[in-house]
Amino acid sequence: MRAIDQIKDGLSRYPLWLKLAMTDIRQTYKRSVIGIAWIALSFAIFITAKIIVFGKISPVDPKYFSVWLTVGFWLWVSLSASIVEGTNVFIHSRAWILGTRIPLTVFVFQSIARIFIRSAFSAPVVLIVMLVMGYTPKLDWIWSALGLIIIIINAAWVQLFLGVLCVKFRDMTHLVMAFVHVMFFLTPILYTPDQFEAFAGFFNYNPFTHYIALVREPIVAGGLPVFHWQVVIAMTIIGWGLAISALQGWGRRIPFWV
Amino acid sequence: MKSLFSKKREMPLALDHMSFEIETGDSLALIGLNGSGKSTLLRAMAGILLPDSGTLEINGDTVALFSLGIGMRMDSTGRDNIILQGMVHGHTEAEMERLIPEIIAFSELGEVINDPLHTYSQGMGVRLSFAVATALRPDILLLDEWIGAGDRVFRDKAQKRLESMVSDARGLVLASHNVHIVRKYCNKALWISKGKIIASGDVEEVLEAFESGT
Repeated sequence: MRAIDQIKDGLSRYPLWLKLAMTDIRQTYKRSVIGIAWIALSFAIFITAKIIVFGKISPVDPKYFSVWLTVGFWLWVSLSASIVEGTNVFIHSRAWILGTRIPLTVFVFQSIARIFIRSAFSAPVVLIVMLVMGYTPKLDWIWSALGLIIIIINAAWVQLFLGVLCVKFRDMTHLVMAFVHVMFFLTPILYTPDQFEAFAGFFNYNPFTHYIALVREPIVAGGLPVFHWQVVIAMTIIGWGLAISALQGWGRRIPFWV
Repeated sequence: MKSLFSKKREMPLALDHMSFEIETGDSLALIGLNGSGKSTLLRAMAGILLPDSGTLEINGDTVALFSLGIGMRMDSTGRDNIILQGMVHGHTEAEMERLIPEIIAFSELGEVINDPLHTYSQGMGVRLSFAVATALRPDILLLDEWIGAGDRVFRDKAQKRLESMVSDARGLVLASHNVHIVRKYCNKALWISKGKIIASGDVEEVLEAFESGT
């Protein structure tokens, strides 16, 4: 199956896409004095502002809320970046697609690596907030780590699928960006679901709720969030099926459409 | 190599039922006016554009030099770009580190190799790209148009290196509408017009046909 081969080939070329991802990140902050530390610094500024403002109107315990918001937002940054950059992942690399024989999947892995390496730079801020608010490392956090790995695996299929789709249907790029904007407000990050009482169940129709829950639940509530894992595993399988179909069906055409 | 293919059923064909073979040690020129399909054919040979129908058999690995800067990053140094180019073609970072002295020597870039690529002149970029491409010792080198962009000293060096490649029983395919360059580097030629092969054979015969036909 050609698509599976492209995925395997792409994965095997990790020195290349890791190097490209790091070059991307370094280039963004070149010539600035603070450099890559900006990733952590800007995240810290956003989080502080959000905790102050939304913590004030939240009925929940401030320490709980701070961790709830910080972990949620930290994940949101990577989830939304994966989707938005996914729409452009091939269009952005047009010159390379037309000039080199690199498998298309390398561009996806480069993008995913860039996004999650960046989130690694702001992770210290998240850890500091958790420790300051009294949430110390527990064995349950292993579930969070596994959750993060599954999120990365999902980000890859989303990018592959959207990447292929958006080369053909450019309108999808704009539609997806609008969708992501709206979804931020429909995802429990700046608030907790119980504030909505009867409507709290509706948040489970939002895929982001589940991805975030995988990492956040073991930290704020402890234990393994079984229901969310079931939903995410289903999304992972269906999602990869979609991505592989898209690559298989339209992969050959990408150099012509891009 | 032998290929027979067409593309885009509903639109004009970029390449229309092309069929030809190249022997080891040949250097083939693709001659034609702009828009004839030379670049499309080169990209098909490079494995970048896949044919809609027909077969394309390539015995050996290819390195393609298309427009300047492809597979390179303007923000990275010449040295980083050498490594990157090599990795794009499937070599490891360690292998490329070993090749760096040879590449710096051939390109005569010296200390500039540590400067970002966007500070290079076009001529310097050509020298670097060419030095890297030939250092990778491909079985077949695919060149699109711009080999004439370097200065005369460089062109002499390039010619010698291409000649040694050909005598090493490697292949060369060069797309150009510059008759002088074609005469200099190639022994066989294909004249392509609107995606079709009009003439093929020895370079002088095809050039005569091309010059009298256009």
